[in-house]
Amino acid sequence: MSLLPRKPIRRRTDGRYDINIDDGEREVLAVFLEQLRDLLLHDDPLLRRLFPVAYVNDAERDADYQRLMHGELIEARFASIETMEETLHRRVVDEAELTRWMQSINSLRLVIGTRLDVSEDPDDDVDEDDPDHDFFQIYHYLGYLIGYIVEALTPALPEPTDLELFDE
Amino acid sequence: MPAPLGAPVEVDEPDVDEVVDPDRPWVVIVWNDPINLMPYVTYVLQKLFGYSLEKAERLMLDVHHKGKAVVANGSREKAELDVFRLHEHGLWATMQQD
Repeated sequence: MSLLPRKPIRRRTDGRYDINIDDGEREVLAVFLEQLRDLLLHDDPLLRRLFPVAYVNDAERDADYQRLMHGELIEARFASIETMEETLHRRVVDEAELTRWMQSINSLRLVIGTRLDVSEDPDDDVDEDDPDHDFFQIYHYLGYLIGYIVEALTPALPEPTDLELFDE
Repeated sequence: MPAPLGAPVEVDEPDVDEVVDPDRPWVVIVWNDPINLMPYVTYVLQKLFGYSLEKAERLMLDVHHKGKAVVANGSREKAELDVFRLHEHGLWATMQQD
């Protein structure tokens, strides 16, 4: 028995990952994943941070790029959501599955952050009466999960390549 | 715009301030945003580019404090792929010629 609080996501000794979140949290995630899927299907403006421009000063080139890549990016997002939905009730996932959780959770965070119009400063003291209060709770909760996912996945990163690609 | 024979197919739009050179490398820039968490950005840079923790953190801090940072360079094709992978991870990345 451990005196330390359980991490919501933790790397196991066998190289897979424990997902220690309760059923209530999983249900909340399921609801939000479905909403994200819905937004993607309707090309909602809340998704703008998920589909940024690639060429800042070149609208024509960016249009060409988006023509090629926008569909791929949408497909990638749907694939991430699908994997996370399929594994949402699992207690153990592998690296590929957890990576998709990470991408889906981060996508959710980007959309909710857009909806909340967040700035750099974290808004820790949102009034309970504030209509956005629940969204802020979710926003911080998703950030909490991302932190633990990154911590869990980092040991699995391959050895850094020592190339100095450019001088600064 | 039709390209003269022997010239590369890609022709950059003429800019009076710059010498047009289709062989100039492309740089990939990551821009600061108020949502993505710093450890997440660091992790993505390590994962996508094979950077050490130190280098990824340095780039992440440049993004955070300076508003943007060049995270990679290369051919136009490579830059487009890098931009795509960064977008896939929710980062705001753009590309331009060096």
